[in-house]
Amino acid sequence: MKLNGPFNQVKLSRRSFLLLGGISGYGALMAYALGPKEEVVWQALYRSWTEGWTPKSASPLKDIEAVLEHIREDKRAELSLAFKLLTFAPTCFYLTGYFFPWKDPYKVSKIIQKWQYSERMEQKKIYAGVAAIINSSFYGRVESYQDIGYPGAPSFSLNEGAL
Amino acid sequence: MKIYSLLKDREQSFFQKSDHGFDFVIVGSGAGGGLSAFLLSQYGHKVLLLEHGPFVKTADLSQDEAKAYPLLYQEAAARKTSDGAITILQGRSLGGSTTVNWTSSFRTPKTTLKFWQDEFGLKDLREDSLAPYFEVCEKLLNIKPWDISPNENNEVLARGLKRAGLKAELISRNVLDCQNLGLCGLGCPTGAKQSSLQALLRKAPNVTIVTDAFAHSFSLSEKKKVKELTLYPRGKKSGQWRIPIKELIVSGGAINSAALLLRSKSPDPYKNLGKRTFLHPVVLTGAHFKESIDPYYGAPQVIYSDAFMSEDPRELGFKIEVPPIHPLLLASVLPFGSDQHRELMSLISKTNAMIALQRDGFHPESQGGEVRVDGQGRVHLDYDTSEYMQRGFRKALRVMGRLQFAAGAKEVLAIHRHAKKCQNLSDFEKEVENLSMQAHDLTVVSAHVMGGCAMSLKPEDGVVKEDGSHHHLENLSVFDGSLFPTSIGTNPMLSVYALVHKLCEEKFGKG
Ligand SMILES: Cc1cc2nc3c(=O)[nH]c(=O)nc-3n(C[C@H](O)[C@H](O)[C@H](O)COP(=O)(O)OP(=O)(O)OC[C@H]3O[C@@H](n4cnc5c(N)ncnc54)[C@H](O)[C@@H]3O)c2cc1C
Ligand code: SF4
Repeated sequence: MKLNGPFNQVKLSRRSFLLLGGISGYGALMAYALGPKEEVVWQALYRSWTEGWTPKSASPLKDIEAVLEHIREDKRAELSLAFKLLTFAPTCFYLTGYFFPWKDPYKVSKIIQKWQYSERMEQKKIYAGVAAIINSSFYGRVESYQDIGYPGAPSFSLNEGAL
Repeated sequence: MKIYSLLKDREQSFFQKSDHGFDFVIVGSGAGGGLSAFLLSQYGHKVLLLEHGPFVKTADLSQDEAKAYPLLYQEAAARKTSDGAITILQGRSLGGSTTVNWTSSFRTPKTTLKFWQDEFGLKDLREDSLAPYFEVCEKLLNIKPWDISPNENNEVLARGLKRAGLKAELISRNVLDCQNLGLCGLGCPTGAKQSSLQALLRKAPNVTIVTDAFAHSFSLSEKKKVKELTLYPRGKKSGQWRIPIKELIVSGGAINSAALLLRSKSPDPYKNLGKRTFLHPVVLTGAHFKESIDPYYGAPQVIYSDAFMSEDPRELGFKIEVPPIHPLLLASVLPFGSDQHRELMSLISKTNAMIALQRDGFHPESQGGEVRVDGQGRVHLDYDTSEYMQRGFRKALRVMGRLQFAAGAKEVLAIHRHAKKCQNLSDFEKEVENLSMQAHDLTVVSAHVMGGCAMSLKPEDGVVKEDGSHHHLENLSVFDGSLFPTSIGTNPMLSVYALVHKLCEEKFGKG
């Protein structure tokens, strides 16, 4: 399927979606900066995912960029493609059921639910990728420990002669 | 031992020399590469050991998961099968996976060795012929049964097994003066874990190590010999370094070793390279208890059960253990959305998890995956879970739920996209019966990657000979977990060590 409009260079092929599978997980290379439209989507998903727990000090976008920096280049490109699709109304509708839902927390939480239970491979894979990035950016933060009741690493001493 | 970094020390005179006269160049510093370097230096050879990942001093290891995973794991612990369905944990720092592994130490099951003899003709790999090598490796790595009380996470498994009339077996560990912290997966911060770095490389004076060095490919001479190896600094596409080769030992671990040979277009007339790559695919159940479990503290794996490993490896079989649980690790395996995810995370201190690792490579419907490299040289693993394997997943979930309820769990949850918490065994069994066992629905992970450069008697059946040397290249040997023609059927570290010790001694040892 070829799209018209600002993203007419983007081929929405089954393969592109299938490739998205590779992004899920916590994944290493160059500095990465999100585009303004991607930022809106990430911010909305992050807030919904960590609702009630988002620490005041949180800078979700910085944390998400830090995680994206560690993802293999090809997989990051696939994720970036997915986010282009989520910021372009027709493809966003195809993937979420809404044209531009990202300012409405209720719709965002519905989208997450829909993705979790979806039987469509592209939605399953975007869900897995988004979940992995947000989980890594949030639960990788010491600040999240208090919310979940993890007391932190135990104390220890260095054994003699350890390299 | 001298350590350089190709990333940081590129300007040093060491890298300007065209030939250092190394007798052996080894790619990879994990179980296979670390032991090979140690032995070859003892035999008096001049050895160069190359490692893709960094050297992280024990004192510099971070207990923060967000820092540890990108530093110590392949693809920052986000390596996946090409369809994204199975997460693969593999180490990538000096010491390889032995730096981050959970220290469970088992000899190769005799049923596995028997299968190799019967099916692949590997007559030299017998319990008696390998026994002396297991003994030496157990000494070198200080492998002993764990004699401190298990943590509560392991205690749940012990209790569940006992109440189900099964035996709780004790795991041996490769540690020295262990402080029972439970941080093994983030790299042991005390130096107690006897990784290949702490137990072997530290004591190998004739070895020069270059870290942050990615072995991209090698060139071949007309005489079917490896001529030169090309490396890049980690994460870079420039700054190439070439090293002439007398004898090359490939120990990059499964997936990576096959990828190096594929990128180098090494001869593979029968198209065996990268095939039969195994994972011991793991499925999980979580259980909540009234009392605290604190699954993040204490030696991670000390109790196991092989009650569900049938004697005949062609039949379904899985080993049951528990994994350590840390926040990010837990968050990444839970396939649930916002509210449900937060609720489960907030119960971390009362959570027990069990894992069932399924042996693969024995049954006709379980022939492993295939490693590929793309035009950019990036590696991919295609691995499908067959209906046969899915039957094993379902059975394993049922068994683990039963053990958790028997141990007193309040509720049990299959780690599956559609699963709900169940308050009793009969609801749990009904639920498991109805869940799809397809990857992507069910969370499937692997920390045991094996095969891809299988040993075989004849070139038609594998990549290397029974002595580890390449079927078609004179001066190349593969010494790591990618040699196995099937999965091991138990945690594989000690099998890699013992097999590599035997091959290295027989091929390159004195007398
Ligand atoms: C989290 C975790 C827990 C585990 N727990 C256990 C356990 O409790 N018990 C057990 O028996 N097993 C365990 N294992 C598995 C065990 O550690 C491995 O099976 C074993 O270390 C494999 O040895 P290897 O030599 O084949 O590869 P590895 O130990 O993985 O070493 C390969 C090394 O080669 C390097 N390398 C790869 N390609 C290149 C290249 N092209 N250029 C330069 N360097 C390269 C890699 O960076 C890596 O450091 C665990 C593994 C993990 C990841
Ligand atoms: S339990 Fe702690 S001290 Fe022991 S090996 Fe693991 S991390 Fe090191």
